[in-house]
Amino acid sequence: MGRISRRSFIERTGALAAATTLPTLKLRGAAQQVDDQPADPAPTTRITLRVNGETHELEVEDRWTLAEVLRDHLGLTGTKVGCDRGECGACTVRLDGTTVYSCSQLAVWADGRAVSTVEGLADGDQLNALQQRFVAHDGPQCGFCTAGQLMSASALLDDTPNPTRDQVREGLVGNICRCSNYNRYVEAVLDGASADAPSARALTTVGALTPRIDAPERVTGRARYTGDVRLPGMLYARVLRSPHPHARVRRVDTRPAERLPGVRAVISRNTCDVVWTSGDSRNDRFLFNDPVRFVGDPVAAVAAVDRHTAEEALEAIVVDYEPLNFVLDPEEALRPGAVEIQPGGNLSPRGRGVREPEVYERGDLDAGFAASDVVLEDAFTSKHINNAQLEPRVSVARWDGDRLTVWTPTQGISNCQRDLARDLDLPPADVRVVCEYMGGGFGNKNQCQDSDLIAAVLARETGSAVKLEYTRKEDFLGVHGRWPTRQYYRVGATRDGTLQAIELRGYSGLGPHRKSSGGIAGIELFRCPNVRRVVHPTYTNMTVSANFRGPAYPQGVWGIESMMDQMAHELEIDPVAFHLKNVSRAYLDETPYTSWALPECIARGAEIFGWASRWRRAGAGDVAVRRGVGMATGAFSARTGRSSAVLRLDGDGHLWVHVGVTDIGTGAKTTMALLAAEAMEMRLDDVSVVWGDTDRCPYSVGESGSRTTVQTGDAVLAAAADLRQQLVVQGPPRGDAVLVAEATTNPRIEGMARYASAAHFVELEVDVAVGHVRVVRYVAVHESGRILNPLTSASQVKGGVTIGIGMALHEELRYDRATGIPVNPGYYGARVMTHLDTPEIEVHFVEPEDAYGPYGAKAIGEPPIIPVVAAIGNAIFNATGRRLHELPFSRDRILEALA
Amino acid sequence: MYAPEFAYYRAGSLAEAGQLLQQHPGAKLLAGGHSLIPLLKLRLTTPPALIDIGRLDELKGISVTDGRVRIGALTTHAELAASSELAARCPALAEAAGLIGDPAVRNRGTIGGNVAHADPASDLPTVLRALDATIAVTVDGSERSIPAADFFEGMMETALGDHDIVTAIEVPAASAGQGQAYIKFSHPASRYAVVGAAASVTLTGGTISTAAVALGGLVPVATRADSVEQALTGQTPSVDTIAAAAAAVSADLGDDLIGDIYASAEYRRAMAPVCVKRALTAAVERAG
Ligand SMILES: Cc1cc2nc3c(=O)[nH]c(=O)nc-3n(C[C@H](O)[C@H](O)[C@H](O)COP(=O)(O)OP(=O)(O)OC[C@H]3O[C@@H](n4cnc5c(N)ncnc54)[C@H](O)[C@@H]3O)c2cc1C
Ligand code: FES
Ligand code: FES
Repeated sequence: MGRISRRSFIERTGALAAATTLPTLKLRGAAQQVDDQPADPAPTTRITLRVNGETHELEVEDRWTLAEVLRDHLGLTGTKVGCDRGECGACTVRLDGTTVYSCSQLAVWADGRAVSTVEGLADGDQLNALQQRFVAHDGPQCGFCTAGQLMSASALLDDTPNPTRDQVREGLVGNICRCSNYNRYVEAVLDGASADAPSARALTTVGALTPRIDAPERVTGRARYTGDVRLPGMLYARVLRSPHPHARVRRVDTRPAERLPGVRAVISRNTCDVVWTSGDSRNDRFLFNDPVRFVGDPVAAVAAVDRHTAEEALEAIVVDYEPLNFVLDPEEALRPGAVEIQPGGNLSPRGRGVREPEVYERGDLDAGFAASDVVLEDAFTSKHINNAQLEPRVSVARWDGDRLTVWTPTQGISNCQRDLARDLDLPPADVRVVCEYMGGGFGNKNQCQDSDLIAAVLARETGSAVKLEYTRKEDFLGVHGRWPTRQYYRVGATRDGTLQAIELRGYSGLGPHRKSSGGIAGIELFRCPNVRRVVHPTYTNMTVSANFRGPAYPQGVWGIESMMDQMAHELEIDPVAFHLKNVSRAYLDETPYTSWALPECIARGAEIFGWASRWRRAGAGDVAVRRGVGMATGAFSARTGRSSAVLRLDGDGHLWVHVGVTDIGTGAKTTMALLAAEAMEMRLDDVSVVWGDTDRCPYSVGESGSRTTVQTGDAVLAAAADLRQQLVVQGPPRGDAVLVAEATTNPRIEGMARYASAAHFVELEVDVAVGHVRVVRYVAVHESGRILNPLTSASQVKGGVTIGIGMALHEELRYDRATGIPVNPGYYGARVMTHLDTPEIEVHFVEPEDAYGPYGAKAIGEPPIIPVVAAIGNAIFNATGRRLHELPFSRDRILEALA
Repeated sequence: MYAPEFAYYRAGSLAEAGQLLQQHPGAKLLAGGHSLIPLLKLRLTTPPALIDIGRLDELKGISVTDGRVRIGALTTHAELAASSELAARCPALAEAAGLIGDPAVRNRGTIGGNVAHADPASDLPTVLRALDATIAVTVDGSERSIPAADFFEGMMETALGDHDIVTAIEVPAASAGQGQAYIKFSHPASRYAVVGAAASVTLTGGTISTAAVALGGLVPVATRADSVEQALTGQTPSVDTIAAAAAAVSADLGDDLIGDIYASAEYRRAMAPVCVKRALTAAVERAG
């Protein structure tokens, strides 16, 4: 075969990259030969495909993949594309019975063969047995991986009708689920009695196990995600990105690209100065910036008749860069002489202009340390990891006259609409945002993203609808992930185990833009009279960091809980006892909680886990596989914000709930329907939710900050109260009549803090020969007020814990220090969790009474990820006597620590 | 992620595949596509044409003659893993094939594509080196046999010429008293080998008469561990002799170890003896 360079080899395997300093983004912009003649059409072949029993004769370009043909040419969009390179399994279909990745097979190759896709599983509206089990066991959260899981599972069950749990994991190992609902998918395939699977006749009211109301759409491929939207005459867009971590853009010559046949528009800084406001709260962030400040910063964008042409156009754009110094580490970025990334310096100002770190203080720190018998000091470094939701970012924009419609996976249609209107200088009423289904986000689909704006600008330039899809790699580099931190702690306590003083000096790397707070949270979990926390949110030339499930928490809680674990160790106190003595009883020792059951979670968890008999003091020992146990806690406050709901009761007794929510995978729609059904004393089947379209839904605050249930839910209850009042006065509507009630609420809680909390317990094994950590048992006990739907709530916990295990053990976006280039964007490179990595997660709830949320509910979306890294770190310490100070706890770091 | 233009040809026979290769300079053969299609989509290879050999039945299947197992180049990893013939005669090869990737990769990836691609993180080249396999290659209608030791030349480099087609892999069947094993520490998601060790040990009257050990994943090209083999030959197998022999592997590694974001070169170096020891232990157990 022809030689393939080492360079291409590295790009291909993805996992094999840091060996060299070679760029992983293709360096573009070299002078290109431009051909003004229309290119010869790409070679095509006539093929016959039998898809789900139906025969199709098609003329396909030889280079088209099977996934492209199924989705774009046969309209079978149930098959999803999550990585387009054989890593995620979302595109799995069956070909003559066996599973294949349709993204990695040519359509011509499938000529004459039989293809089965998710659309072929159901018989009309009748789900097949496996699909029914997927619904009942709450398999799909966001649903983006579901088609692939179903196809792999079907193939497995055909070969092995009664598989073991391990056979299921093996059979589905190629199917990544970033919602990490692996436990549920395995249960569904086994159809074993899961502790909390619904009984055949689930009650449809609050507190009952209720399958998601939209799960049937997600298991049949009918759910329409943004990538599935196809409009007549639609163009495809691609973005050219900087290969440098920091560079002046001397010149961008787009003309060679504009001359290519099929290219309809090219935009760059030369022609577009739109500011993306939600991309940076402190600085002007343009769609195309000069200087470019991270590898992946957009430089230009093209729209062309198809993806292949758009890709070719990118290669024709000539960019002249002047590379500048760059800095990746936040502490280095604050040293004198470091290159200035944003005007005014690298410490991100508190407000516009106030260049000081964020400081929180109570008591007298010096006095606290003076009063301590033991004072510990330590430092911890956490890394940037990507949200890696399975659906890559995609936006479709269309103008109808002066009115803009954007289809986009967003966690907030209303704020996305507001952002688009502001940035494009349009009246909000002239912007419509639609998000029917979305494939996860975990915080990186909040608000409006640059892809929405770029698609809108290109659509205006060309007068056609435009679809902009990010590749998996662009999604890793061009959107955002969790912020990396360095945390320096000093903690003092007296011999009896009472905390006296806590000091944190922390640094967080924001990348070059302030898209979120960069905070480091966790200290508030502990009672302590003397506290000082100083955090420096800092600009760096890494990829942008912002919200990712419990944004400031898992990394901060790892730091403080490691200190507490060490303190308990030094004082020879059982960590459970130490926690029970020291965990918070009032927020910041000051503000009462609306309800608070963290001590109960700890006690309950310790009992279920059998902590008393399993825990022994940390020690080395000399067995080849060492066992250890660890525990940690976490708490999270749902954010607040205004939301509205409109309830409409028809003459035929059906209730329509209009709420401006989308459903990122948390089950928001189901929760809104449940609340409405409960409040109206109706059956869930008689309630429909209208969601995800700013033209049809009132304002909602957005699915971020774990607040949908408590904020939008409150509006639903208020509207329901009104509707019931109307019913009393007017009686039920008849015929064409309808009753409508509307409510806008913004429940604030004065003088109290509403936190949900959790205690996690883990047992693990460390193979000291290879440094491998295997989680043997995981118990998560949560208190989130009343649990409205135990089925989906437990799925949230399982997913959050699983993502947390990945953060603890292997995930990290790594950089080549010499070039500032990230070396492992992508699923394999970043090493997200798979079926085989995922242990069974045991979930338990403590349900304290809470007088505030709807029926007393508190947050559940974000808390589950918070204690995980800390619990695992503490268990590794318990097993080995060594504490790791840098994430992830990878095999080589473990061996190094043991050496 | 979108492939550049190329033309697609489907070969109806091996001879036609050869002719198509001649007619389209720079063309590439397409077997399972699991290594080639990703490269095309990343535009890291831009052949003018692909020649699909996927339907050539003459290149499929496993047969046994005179103590040699002949495996057609198009035999998939899944077929290798499921073959009882292979499990009986070249157990390490079946074992390694079953550990490749995930079901979708095993359903499509072929042994011919795997060896022609010669990815250092692949599993099959390591086993083929340990088992002294030969690779049957045809060009212009004439077939020649290349020993695995000469076939794998470097990282993604083989002895194949531009018009060569791998037709089969031939492996000597295991003899009585021979035990084989393949152990790998894999990248947990892709399952590509971080360190892989294949071992074949023959016991005669309680002592190790021959030992063959090959390494992959951490070296640019699958390599025999000569020092380990020498340290074992003539020994009575025991925990200590195996451990001592495995430790000798450090002399066989050379300086050009692969390091990447998943595992550094140092980590791989440290793992080599662990992996070899586990492979030898399993092979000796099966030999006994
Ligand atoms: C997600 C994923 C995980 C993987 N994990 C592993 C793993 O754990 N272990 C492992 O060993 N491999 C792994 N692989 C690689 C897999 O085994 C490939 O299938 C294999 O390396 C290539 O075989 P193929 O039939 O797909 O070849 P193709 O991709 O079709 O071809 C590969 C190359 O070989 C050439 N070629 C193919 N057939 C012939 C022939 N008969 N004669 C001459 N040249 C030929 C082609 O022209 C091409 O250059 C993985 C691949 C993927 C996508
Ligand atoms: S889209 Fe095909 S494997 Fe990810
Ligand atoms: S449900 Fe699997 S990725 Fe969301």
